[in-house]
Amino acid sequence: MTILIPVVGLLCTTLVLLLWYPKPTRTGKLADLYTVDSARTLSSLNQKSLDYKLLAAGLAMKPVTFRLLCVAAGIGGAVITWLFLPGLPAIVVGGIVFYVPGAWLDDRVKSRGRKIDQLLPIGIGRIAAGLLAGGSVPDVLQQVGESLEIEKTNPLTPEFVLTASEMRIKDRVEALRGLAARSPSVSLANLAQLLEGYTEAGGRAYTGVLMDISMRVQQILIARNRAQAKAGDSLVSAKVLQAVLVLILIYLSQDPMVRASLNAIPVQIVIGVTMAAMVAGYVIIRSMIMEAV
Amino acid sequence: MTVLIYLTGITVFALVIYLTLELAPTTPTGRLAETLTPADGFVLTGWRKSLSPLDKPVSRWTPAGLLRQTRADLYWAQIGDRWNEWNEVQLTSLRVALAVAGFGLGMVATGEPLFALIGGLFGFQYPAMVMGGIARRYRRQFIAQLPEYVQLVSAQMSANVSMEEALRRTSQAQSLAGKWMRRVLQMAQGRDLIEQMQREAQEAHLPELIGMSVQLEFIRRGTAQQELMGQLATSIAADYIGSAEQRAEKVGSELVIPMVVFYFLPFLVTLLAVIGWPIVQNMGGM
Repeated sequence: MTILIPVVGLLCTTLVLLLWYPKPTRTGKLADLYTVDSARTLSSLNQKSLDYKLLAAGLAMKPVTFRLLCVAAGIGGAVITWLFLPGLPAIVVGGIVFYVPGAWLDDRVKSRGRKIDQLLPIGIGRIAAGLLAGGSVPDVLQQVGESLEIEKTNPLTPEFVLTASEMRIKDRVEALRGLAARSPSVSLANLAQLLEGYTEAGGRAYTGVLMDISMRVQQILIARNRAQAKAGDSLVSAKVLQAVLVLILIYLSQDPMVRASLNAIPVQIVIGVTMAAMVAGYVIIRSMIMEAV
Repeated sequence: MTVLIYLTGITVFALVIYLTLELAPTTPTGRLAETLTPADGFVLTGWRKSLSPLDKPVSRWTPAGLLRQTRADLYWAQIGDRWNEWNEVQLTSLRVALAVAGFGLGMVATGEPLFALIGGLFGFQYPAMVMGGIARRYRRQFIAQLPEYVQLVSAQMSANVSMEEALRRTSQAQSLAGKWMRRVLQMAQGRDLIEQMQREAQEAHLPELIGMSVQLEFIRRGTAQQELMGQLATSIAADYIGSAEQRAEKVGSELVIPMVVFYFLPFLVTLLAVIGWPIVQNMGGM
């Protein structure tokens, strides 16, 4: 039981660092994730750096804090599991808990692109309607961004608002190319290129074409989003099976003989390998589903 | 003793190959030249250099279909900047070498021909599985991004831009389709762009791409290019929308093998181990 004291101390230190570590810019909750400042800062960072990932995921913490949190979570997970299931399974759980925050962060960054893709059909529809009604590209982008923000906080609004403001203060084509370059979504980059063509063509005569193409892109995105959601259903069984195994093990461990077998080295190796296999399987299955459509 | 029999067999087989086949010359010529000396005069290093003696027998004996499939997979892996500078013959040589290594290791470790065969099969399949997985990922990404890319080309052409210029402009797109088009443009220096696109489409072994490049050739010859391009964009979008639903349906069946390997088998083994261990121990005590 004494081992819990340093673990609790470590977790408390991590929590204190997490809450009161001096931050370069003032941020609150997840709001900063979707501000124009964030979008601007993101464009200046290396996309593979932890700084970029943390900012893109909306986590207001330093990379060192995040790494410390991963280590603390790994140790905490291992120690807590050790109390119930000592040996190799506890070490495997510690390794998994250490790995999970990094994987979660990567997923959050990727999900920024996916969230943009989900909102883009609505955005494209409004942009096309706004341009058809005679609005200028920066005004339409600004209005569409603000209209999306009314419904809920989203990552598309800061991109549109930042592009609109850049189009007003510098070259329009350059601002749209900037949007394409920093976009985490290929479809948003394509939209930027479409609007670049619209701007270069002089607008009016091109509006009808833009409407037709926007509609087709909208249909493509809707179909892709729907298919991805459908493919995602297959992931449910992967999640359920892990929980079922844990529940069965808990139930079986009520038997004294089974409880004794849980401490045997061969059984621990089997449990440890199974845990690692299930986590690896989850990652593989998830990537297969994401890449399927 | 049994191990020695197999080792003698392998050695005799290797000796026969060595004596019967012509060795790769120092300055390669003919069909072998492309395999051993890349166009830019790059000298083979590492694995590819070590495996180069296998290249000639492999290129002679490997079925053409397998080499064609490997070439298509390598094409997509290289689009994703992986397995760069490898060609289909070198990769097949690697597979053969790993198959022999797997077989030998299996024989030494277990002494059972069955396990040695499994080791050899695993060694033969492993590089293809790794490279094929990467190729599949990029191929799917490309298929998903192609319809939107064609819309961009259509949009450019609607603004009275010529087809070649529209393809050049849209090649700046961030998508994989844009990257592919940049590659086509680079390869088409001094050649006809659409013909080069058709060649690349055949190399890529992708029906969507072959179909598109053939239609682009027709559009180029036609008079109402903008309208025809608009129709092509519409049909490609419709095809994609239809097939996206089908692919989503197929995901379930594709996941059967990973589910069995990563979930059901470990799940069963764990349950058997937890329940069976006390029984095994009791039987040992008796």
